[in-house]
Amino acid sequence: MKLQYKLKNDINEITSALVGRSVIEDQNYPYVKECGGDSCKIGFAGDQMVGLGLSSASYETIYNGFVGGRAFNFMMLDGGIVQMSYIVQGGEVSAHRLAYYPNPRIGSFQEHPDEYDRDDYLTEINERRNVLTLVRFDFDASERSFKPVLHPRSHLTLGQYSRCRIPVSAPLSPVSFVRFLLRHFYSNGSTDFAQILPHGSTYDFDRTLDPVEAQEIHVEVPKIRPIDTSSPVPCHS
Amino acid sequence: MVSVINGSTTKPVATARLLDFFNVHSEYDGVLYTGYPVIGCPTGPLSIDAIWISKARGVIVFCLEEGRTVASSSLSESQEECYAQICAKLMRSRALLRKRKLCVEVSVVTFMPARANVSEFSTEECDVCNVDSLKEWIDGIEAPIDEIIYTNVLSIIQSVSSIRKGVKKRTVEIENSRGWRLKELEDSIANLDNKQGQAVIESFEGVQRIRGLAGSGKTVVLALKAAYLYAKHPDWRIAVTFHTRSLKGQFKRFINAFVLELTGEEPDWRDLEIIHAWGSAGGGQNEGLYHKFCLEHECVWRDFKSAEMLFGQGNEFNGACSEALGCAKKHIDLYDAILVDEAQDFPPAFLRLCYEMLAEPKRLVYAYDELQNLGFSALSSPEEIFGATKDGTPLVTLADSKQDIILKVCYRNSGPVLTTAHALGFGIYRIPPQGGTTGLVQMFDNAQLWREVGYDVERGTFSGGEDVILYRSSESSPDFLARHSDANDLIMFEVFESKEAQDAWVVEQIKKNIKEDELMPDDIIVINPNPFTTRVNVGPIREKLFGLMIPTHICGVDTTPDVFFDDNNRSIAFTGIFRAKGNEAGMVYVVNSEDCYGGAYGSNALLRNRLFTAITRSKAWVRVLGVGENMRRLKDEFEQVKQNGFKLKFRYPTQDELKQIKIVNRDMTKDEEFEIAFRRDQALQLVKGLKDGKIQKEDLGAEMLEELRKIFAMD
Repeated sequence: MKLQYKLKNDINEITSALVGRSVIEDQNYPYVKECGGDSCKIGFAGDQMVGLGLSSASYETIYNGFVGGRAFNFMMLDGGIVQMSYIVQGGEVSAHRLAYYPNPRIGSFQEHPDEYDRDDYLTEINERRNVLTLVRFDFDASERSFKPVLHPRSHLTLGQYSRCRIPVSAPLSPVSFVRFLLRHFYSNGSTDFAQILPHGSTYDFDRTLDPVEAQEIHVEVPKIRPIDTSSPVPCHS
Repeated sequence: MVSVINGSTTKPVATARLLDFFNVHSEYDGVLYTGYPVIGCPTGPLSIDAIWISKARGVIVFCLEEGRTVASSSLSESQEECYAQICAKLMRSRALLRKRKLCVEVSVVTFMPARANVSEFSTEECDVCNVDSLKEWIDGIEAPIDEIIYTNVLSIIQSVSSIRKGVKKRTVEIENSRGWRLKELEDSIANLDNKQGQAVIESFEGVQRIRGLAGSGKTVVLALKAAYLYAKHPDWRIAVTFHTRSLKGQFKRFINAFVLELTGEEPDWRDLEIIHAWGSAGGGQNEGLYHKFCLEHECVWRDFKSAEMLFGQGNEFNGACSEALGCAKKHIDLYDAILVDEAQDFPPAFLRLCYEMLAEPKRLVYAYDELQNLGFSALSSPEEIFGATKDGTPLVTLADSKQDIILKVCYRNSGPVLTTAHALGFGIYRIPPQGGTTGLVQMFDNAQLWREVGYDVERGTFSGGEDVILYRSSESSPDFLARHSDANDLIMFEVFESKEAQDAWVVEQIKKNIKEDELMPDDIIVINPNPFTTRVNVGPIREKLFGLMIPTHICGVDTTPDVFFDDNNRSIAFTGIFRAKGNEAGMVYVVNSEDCYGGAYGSNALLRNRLFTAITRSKAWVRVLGVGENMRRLKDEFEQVKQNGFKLKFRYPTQDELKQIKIVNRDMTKDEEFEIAFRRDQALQLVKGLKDGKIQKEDLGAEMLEELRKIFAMD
């Protein structure tokens, strides 16, 4: 199957699994669009708005804008939104933008797991004690913006620090990204939501980490392995 | 005798004199409005001081003057303006035009009761009267109109707004499809009825209570009332609050549209706040009345978690409001009027908080529905809520009929649906628990309330031990709500062997609704009545629908900023019971309803209320679904309703039974339920031991026996 359809299927399957467990409240379907040449885009309804995220508007304005335009793949039960887009060129992933925007107003799921689980209508009445963190994994295979360490091909941005570009070893698959989010941002201490995710397709992403970047703190993305059911250790995917 | 509806007035003295006049001269009839209508003009809202409509004299507009003198040019100017605007309003209805002329005469007079001699103000163009000359002037008007015109005029003047409820664009092609039938329904519900209009206009300088059953239009009435007060009193600070957070969007839409219609402009939201009850830090859309109160009085603000810890589960808001009230050192005027919707879901302490925030004369309007309270016991009387002054006189009594308005016509649910909801809500056909004499889980304290919510007595009386049969008249449940479908289609109960079977059935039905019945996704709601199981239960259904490319969402946390969603975002709402109240739809599926059956004791009233609320979300069709034995029992109750022709036939409980019903079915926390189960078990053991002879009653000791005798002495 062509790469772009593998990606689209994965996103659909992820969405379906999360809907089934009521981890997400609202969702859109991903689309594949041919862009001329041999490139195509895998995106979501409203993704033309993502530029808003880079504007100098306040976080609340940005978040409200996305929610108002329903510009997301899905919205988590506590209002956090997930945006995933990919560009595929010549049969390879040439760029991706995987972003998570938390709800600025209401306590997150991790802060109040009980209230969310029991659909408590008073969940909104809480002091937001924790700091918000946006998470964005960006990837660009082209040489256009690449600068070793300063602007790695694959990088992780935390918060709204515009020059935060933590080197990442390779592009991420949709399942990798969502698994990362669920594990670290949506765990309630007892249920591991990451387990409900499908395995997704296997991808063969090349390592894109520059040797100089390897000398700095960076994020290592494990290579996808097929499932080994004899092994007791949970598989990375 | 003239019927009077008193709106909100800025000319109290002259208005009072005018009312006196009509009180004295009881030979006149018709309807008199004071402080109403308010008409939106390019220059701003025009407030008509008083208008009288009668068959003998057509329409008479009164311009009131409080003082003794006024410039005569401004006199004729106001008269001209009133005349022009009233005629324009009337002319909008073709029924009042004949040969392009208005077929009802509109006369205008200025009423200046404070002036002894008005003749020097009266001119050719402009009549001025005081109390002495008014009768002569009125008798000089000969402008009779027939019954039909009279009714039409009343209806136009009365119709505070002709806002249509549905702004949805709907394309229907198949005749009589569900979509087609819904469109017809939506087109019929356009104007307010008399009672609703009265509820909007009728103003009282004090506390006002609006009671109405589900679907009676309370929310619209409250929104209109807020808009009307805002239009009349631009200097007032008004707040509108509600319990279900998702109502905020609805209120905003309604009020915006109404104010636009009444004043020609959009409201200044700083003076007309649509605000949550609790609220949290961060300002803007998070603001709430309680939070504001805490800020102004510099009291500690509690969030939900801390309130739960401090005041106990189930007592969070009550504790928080009581604490804030206790801490406030002096009175601060924060609002001139507060309107509270869904008052039954708030603890009395919150209403007291609102009362405290108001400037004199404490214009608090609260709307509620007896059966829809989902958490607290039925709303107490105002004497109980607001308490008394130091010498014992209650702060608030609803002595005047204008203070207590009842809306008994239900515009959302058809007769069969509503009767079923009431039957199940009260447990009319419920099998009595073992040893009990009645299956009822709750009953109105005052039997009069049955009539007030729109039931007529077919046979029998409300006497303890006597049979009574109640039914909904076509007045209180308009026929057009039920005509479109067969009764068996309006409401259905289904029992399934397993949850999977239930879920599969729902998916199939929804697929049919979307693909064949011409329903839009937002015509459908799926409700799970038990808040603890909503997320778990709705997941599988939504997953299947996602696979079928049918859009769905869960009504979860309130993330919407203050924007209006457009028609393009159509999606099936899946909701728990608490958020269901912000929604209504043509097709409602209530899943896992077995959780509402209840048991021998323990929060039964609450469980049945949830079922009531779920069923009454429907504008047309309801499917009540569930699994297992309890669902079967619920279905049996429904079958009885059907067999009785959608009437309530039951033995009215005795006084003792009424007491018993209240106690046994009261709201309980899980801890209390556990405690009861535990103690019952212990008591059972004791009885068993005594019966089997394992112990003798003398073994309990004389003291213990005496205690037991005292406790169990029946009265």
